[in-house]
Amino acid sequence: MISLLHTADVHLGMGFPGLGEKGRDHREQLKRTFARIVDLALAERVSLVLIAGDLFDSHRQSEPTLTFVREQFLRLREGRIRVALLAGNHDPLGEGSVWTRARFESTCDNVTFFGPEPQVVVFQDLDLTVIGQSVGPDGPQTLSPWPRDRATRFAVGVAHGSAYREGVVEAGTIHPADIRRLGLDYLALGDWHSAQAVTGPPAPAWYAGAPEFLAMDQEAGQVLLVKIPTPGQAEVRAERVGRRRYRRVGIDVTGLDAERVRARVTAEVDLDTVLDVVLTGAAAPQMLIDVRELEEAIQDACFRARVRNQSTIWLEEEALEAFPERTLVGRYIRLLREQTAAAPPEERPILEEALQVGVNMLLGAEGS
Amino acid sequence: MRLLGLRIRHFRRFQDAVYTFDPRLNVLVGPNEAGKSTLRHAILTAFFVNPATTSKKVAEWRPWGSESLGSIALEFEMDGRRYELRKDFERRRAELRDLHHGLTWEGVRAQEKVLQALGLSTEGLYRATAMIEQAEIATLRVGSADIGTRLSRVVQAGPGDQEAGAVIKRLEKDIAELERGLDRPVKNPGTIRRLQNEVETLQAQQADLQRRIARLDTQREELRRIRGEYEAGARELRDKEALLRENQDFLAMEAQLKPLREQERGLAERIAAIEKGYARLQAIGRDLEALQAQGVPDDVAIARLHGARGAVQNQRREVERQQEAIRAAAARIDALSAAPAASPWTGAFLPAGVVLLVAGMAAGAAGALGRAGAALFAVALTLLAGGLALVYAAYRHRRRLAELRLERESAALRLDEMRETLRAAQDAMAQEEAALRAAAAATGSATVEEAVSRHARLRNLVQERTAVQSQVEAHLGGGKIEDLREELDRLRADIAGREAVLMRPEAQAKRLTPLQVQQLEHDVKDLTQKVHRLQARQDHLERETAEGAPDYEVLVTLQEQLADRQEALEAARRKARVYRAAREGLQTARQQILIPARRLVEERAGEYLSVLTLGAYDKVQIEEPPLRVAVWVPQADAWMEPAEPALSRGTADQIYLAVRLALVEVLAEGNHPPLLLDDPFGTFDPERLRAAMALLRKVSVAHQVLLFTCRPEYEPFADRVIALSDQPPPPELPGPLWQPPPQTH
Repeated sequence: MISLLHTADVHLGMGFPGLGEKGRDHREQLKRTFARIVDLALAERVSLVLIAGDLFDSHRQSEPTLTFVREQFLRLREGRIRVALLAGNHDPLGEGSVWTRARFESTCDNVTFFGPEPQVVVFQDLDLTVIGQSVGPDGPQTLSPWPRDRATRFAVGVAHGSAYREGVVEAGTIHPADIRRLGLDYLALGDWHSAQAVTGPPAPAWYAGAPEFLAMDQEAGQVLLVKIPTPGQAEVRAERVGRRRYRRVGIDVTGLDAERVRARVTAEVDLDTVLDVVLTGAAAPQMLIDVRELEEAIQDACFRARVRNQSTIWLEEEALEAFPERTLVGRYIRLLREQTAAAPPEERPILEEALQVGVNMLLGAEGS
Repeated sequence: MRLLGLRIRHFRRFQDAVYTFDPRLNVLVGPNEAGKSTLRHAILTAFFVNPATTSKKVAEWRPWGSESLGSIALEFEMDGRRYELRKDFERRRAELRDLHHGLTWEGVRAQEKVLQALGLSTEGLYRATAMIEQAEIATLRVGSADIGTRLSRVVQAGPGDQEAGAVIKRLEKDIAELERGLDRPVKNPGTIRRLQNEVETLQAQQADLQRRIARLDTQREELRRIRGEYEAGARELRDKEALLRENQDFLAMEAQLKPLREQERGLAERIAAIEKGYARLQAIGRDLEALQAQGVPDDVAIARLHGARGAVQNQRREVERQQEAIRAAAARIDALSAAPAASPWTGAFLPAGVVLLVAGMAAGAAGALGRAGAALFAVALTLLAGGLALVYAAYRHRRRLAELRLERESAALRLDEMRETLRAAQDAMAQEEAALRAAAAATGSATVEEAVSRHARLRNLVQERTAVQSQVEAHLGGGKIEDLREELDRLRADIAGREAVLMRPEAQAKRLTPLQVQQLEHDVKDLTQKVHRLQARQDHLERETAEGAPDYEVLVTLQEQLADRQEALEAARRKARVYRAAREGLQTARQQILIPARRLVEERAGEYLSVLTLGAYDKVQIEEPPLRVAVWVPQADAWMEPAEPALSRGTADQIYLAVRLALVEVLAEGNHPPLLLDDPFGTFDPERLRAAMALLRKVSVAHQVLLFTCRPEYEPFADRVIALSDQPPPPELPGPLWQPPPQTH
């Protein structure tokens, strides 16, 4: 039986402009998560760790980062675990490539690094053939030139690129027909940051996804443990290794006051959560929510919080009845509504926010 | 709208309370905690709260100890028709029934009808317009501005002009804080300027770092290239140096070969000369032996032979001289014999001469006789001369012939003598020749020349042998020819070995011409300099890249900080835009808020003020915004602000009350909501109180008044006094209001 750990898209050294001052901490977390992957590989006593590209986010990597990766590979070496890795589209081979500096394979004899051409490596002791191809200066390549012959009982592949989907991902280079033609016992893919299968048995191909949170709107944090008891019978199991989670919380504020919205949001906070709150619906003028205040209120309780207000002020006649035109608030609402309708599209969000701010302040002033 | 009755069940402190009202002025009297506030609250709840609400506040209305929510039933009259409004919070239902026509409205429809009847669409509007709180007048400060502010809140049913001003001020303050320092440098810049500064600083840091990193990247790239060039250059240098060394070795070998070859040639020549010398010596030896075998005259014999031969030669020369003399003498004799004795011509000279002499003498004689003597004399002279010449010539010829004859005879005698001498000389010479032949024969030679030749040959051979021996010895140089041959063999082996090295195919492949070697030397020199330059550059770059290794982490962090600050800056700028839009909107809205039907308010307020001041003041003027109230003071014949010291505080309160009540009719847009007054005249003296109550009676013609108080002073002015207590409802229960509520399930 062959036991594999499949990861990809670690993106070491990645910048996180959206995390501000916490970017540095999360960049360190990527390393910690990579170390956890190594821990998991050692604990699971896998035969081979497949890293399907984008181990680095760019070629600009500090020496300490390269040293760190080398140390992790040596840890695997001590555990008699091989590593097969390749360059992805973020760290492709070519002039000035990080791999030229890193040269892990020269210092870690358990590491196999695939070149820009399809390359076949045979591990006789495992009765395993591994086929791989790095991304070169010309970008990801198709699997069509990959050889189909295998000299061993087991054969797996590792590649980096987008899977082709008719009408959806037309530019994808990983074509399901090629995957099926190759008939590998398992194809480890990298590029997409969420774990998902591209093809099923008997020639399964999976994206492992990023092992740690990288960006909003992505479900990351896993690696895949693959066991192949017999050829064509791969069993794939996802294992969580990421510390931080992305959670998108959509709240329809229609009919909710600020307190209830805040309660809903507060229920989701967690120190390791990147919370992405999106307020939708329509809020009555007297129930408007101060988004900035809400965001600031939960910021310290999350790793990172973002509150986006996509709700609108409820200005149907029923809502407006509470604010007759002859009142200041009523007049203000109608005036801003008229201005918004007449404004060019790029000005409208400003006026809509001004409407909410003005009403909030006026009603707040009244309350005070 | 005029309220007729109210039944409250299970609402806060009321278990089941029923109240009936007079259509005009009602005074509801009760001590503190008697439920006046709750009753007002119940009325407002009946007007405005939807029983279907999910608000938690509804639960707060539940009486102590009760699990169920209550209900409020309200009976009112409007436009001559009676209605019953029932709000059941337990069942969350609202229902309005037209008691005359049996029509029923439920839920939202029922609520709409009630609000339409009130003319005030929200509780806020109602509270601001139709209710006067206990402290509203009592807390009026002296000054028209405050009256104006209060009135503006009434008019605007919520945030009034003061609040609007405060909001605008707050917005302006926030905008100023955001934009401070944008137009000019300030000590403490605002948010946008500060963020701009931070962004600019971070951008500068980022640009600087990126420049450094780019420079370092370039240096690394150059280092990589230089390393490659250096390795290639060093490799090429090594190859060329090796090639050069080999070719230099070749050249050195060739240079060594030349003298070796010369040495070899010289040695070979020496050996050849020696061998030739040996051969010559052998030949000379053989010649000498043969010569000596034939016999060789010695020097004495040779000298003798030379003497004999000299004598022979001398004798031969004498013979030859004799012979020559004989030939000369014979020739003289022959010449003398050959000379002619007389010619015909010479024989004739004498007669001819005599003739001429005679003729001449004749002619002379004739001349001397004749006339032509002169001419004949000339001819006679010529003839005489000719005749004399011819006679002389004949004389000379004859004498010569005599001399020749004598000479010929003498010569013949001497010739005979000479022939005799010759014969003697020839005999002597024959003797000498015989002696010479004998001497030659004695040396074994046939001839003297042969003997001389043998002698000369011997001498030559001996001399040659000596010379050859000297040459051979000189070539041998004191050694042996075998040694020379061995040396030659060694030399040739050495040369052959060296030539073999040079002729090897691999050597041939590397062999360069001297010109090429020279070029190669230049190349190696240039390449060495180049490699040194590359080495120096490589060392420099390695130091530079090691010392200034780019901290990519710092760059990424900087980018994150920059993105964060840029986002904050954009947010601040957007906030400033939003706040400006809000401020301008508020200012415009503030300007646009007009007091509806201002003249009506002024008229009604003047009317009410006249009642309140017993005719002292009856004209009110309102300017807006902000609502500035002025009153006509007849004594001063001027419009004056309702503030001390122009007017007393009590008068100001009256003016406020007059305008305040006047506004109700206008703000309710012609409708007549009931007025709920919470003991508003606590600060009025009895006279003003009476006047105020008189005004309320007047107002109550249009608006039902419910005046809540804990004092008895108002009772005399009431159409109905309602004492508030927890007393059970009176037995006479008019109308459907008092029917028990439907059972709830």
